[in-house]
Amino acid sequence: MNRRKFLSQAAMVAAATPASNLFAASRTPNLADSCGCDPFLAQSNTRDRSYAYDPDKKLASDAFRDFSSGIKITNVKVFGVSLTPRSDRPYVFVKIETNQPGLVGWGEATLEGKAASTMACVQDFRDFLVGNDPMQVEHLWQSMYVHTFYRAGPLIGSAISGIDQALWDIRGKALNVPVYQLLGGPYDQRGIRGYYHVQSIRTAEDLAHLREGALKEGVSCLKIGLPDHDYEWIETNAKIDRAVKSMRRVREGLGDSIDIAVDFHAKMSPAVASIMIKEVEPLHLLFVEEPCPPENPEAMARIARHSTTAIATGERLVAAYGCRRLIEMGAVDILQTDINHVGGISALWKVAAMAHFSNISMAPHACEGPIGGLSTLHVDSAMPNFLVQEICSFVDAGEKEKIWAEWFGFPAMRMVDGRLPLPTKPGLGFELSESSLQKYPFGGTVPMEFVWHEDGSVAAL
Amino acid sequence: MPRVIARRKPQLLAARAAAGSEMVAAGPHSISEVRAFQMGSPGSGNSYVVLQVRTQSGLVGYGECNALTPAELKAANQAIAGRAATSYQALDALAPAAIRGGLNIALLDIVGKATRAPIYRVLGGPTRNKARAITRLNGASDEELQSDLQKQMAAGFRAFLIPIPAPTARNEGSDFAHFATARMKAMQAAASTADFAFEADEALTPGDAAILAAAVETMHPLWFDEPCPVTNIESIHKVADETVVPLAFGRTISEAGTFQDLLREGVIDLLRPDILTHGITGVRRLAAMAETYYVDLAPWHRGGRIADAAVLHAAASMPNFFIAQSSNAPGAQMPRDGFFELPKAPGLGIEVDEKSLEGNQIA
Repeated sequence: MNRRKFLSQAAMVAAATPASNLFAASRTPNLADSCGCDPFLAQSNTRDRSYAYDPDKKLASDAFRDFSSGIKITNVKVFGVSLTPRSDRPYVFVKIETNQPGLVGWGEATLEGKAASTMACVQDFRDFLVGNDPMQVEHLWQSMYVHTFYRAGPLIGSAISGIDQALWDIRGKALNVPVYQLLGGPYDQRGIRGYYHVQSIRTAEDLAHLREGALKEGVSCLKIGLPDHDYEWIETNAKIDRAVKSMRRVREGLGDSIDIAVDFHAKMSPAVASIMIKEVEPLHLLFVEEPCPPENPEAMARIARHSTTAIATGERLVAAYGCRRLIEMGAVDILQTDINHVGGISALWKVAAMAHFSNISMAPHACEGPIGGLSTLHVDSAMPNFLVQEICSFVDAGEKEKIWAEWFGFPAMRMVDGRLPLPTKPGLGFELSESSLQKYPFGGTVPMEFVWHEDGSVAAL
Repeated sequence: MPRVIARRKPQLLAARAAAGSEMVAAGPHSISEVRAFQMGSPGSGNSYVVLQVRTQSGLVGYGECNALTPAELKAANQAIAGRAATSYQALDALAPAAIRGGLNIALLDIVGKATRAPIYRVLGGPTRNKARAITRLNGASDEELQSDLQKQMAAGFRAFLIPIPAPTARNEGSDFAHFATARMKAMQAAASTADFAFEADEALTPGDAAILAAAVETMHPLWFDEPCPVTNIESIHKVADETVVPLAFGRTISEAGTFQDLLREGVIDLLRPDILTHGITGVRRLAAMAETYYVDLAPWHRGGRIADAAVLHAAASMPNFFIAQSSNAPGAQMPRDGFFELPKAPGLGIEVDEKSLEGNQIA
């Protein structure tokens, strides 16, 4: 008799004789539980049976049979979708299927530069997910995060994000309401205020064209980058001056009625960033984004305290845990956690709730695919502290936006009068067919760009 | 560049006004009326208000709040009538503060009924299949408390709040320490498998609270409830620094920022927000923050059965819930072997007898 069969029979005997725990009756209880690290011992029957260790309770939903919604996860599929063969951010889409006819959920786990790892990470969660009740998203989220033991960095965070979005999609569809209603939104029926990026600008004519296009579309906010590609942690007069002057020129060119955000892309040190940010105070930028790298919240706070210019950060942070220090310090003005990395809808909602306690605004990051973008809109609509939603597109729609519109049958993540319309159908509010993705097969992992300083040393990205 | 602000101000004001008017005009479950009923429970001595929210689609949701004036009720009706019940978060700030917690419970009751799901399922639960239960022991002497303890053990409770009587003088620390140690021993003698928390109703000085807590540390009380008022962070630091007994605060805290301060300073081990003040959503938002400090919640209230049910839904929709305190209202659910069952029917999952509300309407 194999061990598994023996255990299940033993469990039946135990169940048939109430108040007699088979193992407790036959053995002295442990003084200390074994660690389970030894690959041979871990398979033998040396551990006490308890709620904490029960080889027959495999699934997270097993303890919830009396509460089952009747829906079960039957399959988890992951798709790598490269719009171009050399894309560094193939979309990683997650599709969760259920035992209910036609009831599926979609989510996005795209992690720039790490596509194959993310797809493998989603697959690692497949065995854990299949058989569970997809309605228990908070419970499944906790199990994925906590039982991962090392908790989550960006890779595991992205995998959980894609799964979490798909589970919310299923729950909304099963309850026949759009996800934003489950979250208690919307604050504004008209949609979600958004901002576009800008393509490179060289001349005053470029700026005039941009301003005209934005005003025509009703776009109230744009985000620009800096003129140079790399910055050292101490910088020269020439480069600092160029950056400050370019921000001034953009403000002059776009006028006062368009909000301007500037992405510093974590290229600088607190020392250099502080100088620039203080100097552009009179421009009343909507915010400066990631003025220094993300690991050190105190360094970020140091920059924020030097200037009245609003500081935004957070796209590389995972889970509410990752944002705790920034929020309790209350030094930055805006958080930008990304629904594809932070841990999905569940985690973005928690970050926003916690940020609100420090009166920090939310401007979620979105530079990947359309599923994460559409998911974010639902959460945005229920945030009391929502400011503006990013979408990494331009005022003039391009090829990417055409493909998105083909997939969904509507112009996904395109603004109407400055706002991204809220999807109103049940779940996340869209249908997507696997076959429509086949035109863009997975091109493999392509790293993000490599940036070097003049002397060949590593520059931040 | 003040001209930027000067030019943009009318634009911003217009945008805000428009946002208010465009917000959630109708929807399938638009709110038709909020009614309120002043209730007192003879069993618990609690005084609270039952809210009844009706939608044009014919759904009825129930909530409870602490106190409500006719003017506040009128203002709430004016603010939310005609708006979608499903936009429960967005409606929160529109209504007077006194009604917000109860309104949130009632609106979630409606969302649950509209989707035919218990509230915890609307919110992504259940995260647990039952909820640990606790009740407060009644009695003046150790003997009276022991007798109540036997009764409550038989009723199914396994965890109890031991009241610390109000002090007759300030800074009587060692007297309190002896008293508490003796009382804890008496309770443990009467029920060796039970667990106990001390409850001081904010009546002690920080010094007395710390001496009491330190004296019972090795008897492992679950926690020390409201040892002293949260007047300022440093006074709470005194208790927290001098003892390792878990400390719980929250019943009178209405500002989330106060909880945030206590968490940041590491002086709170269990949040006890009033669910009638914060609602299910407010409690869950606090839970989201507390989770990052590895701290649990045990929502508190002086309401009735609706509040009891709301606590169970909050418990089953957050990861970091510890225990639910019974209202002891007539008809309140009794636990089984220390745990409350979770409701399974849509919404709050309880039936409210409309006749019990008659004659109590606030108008």
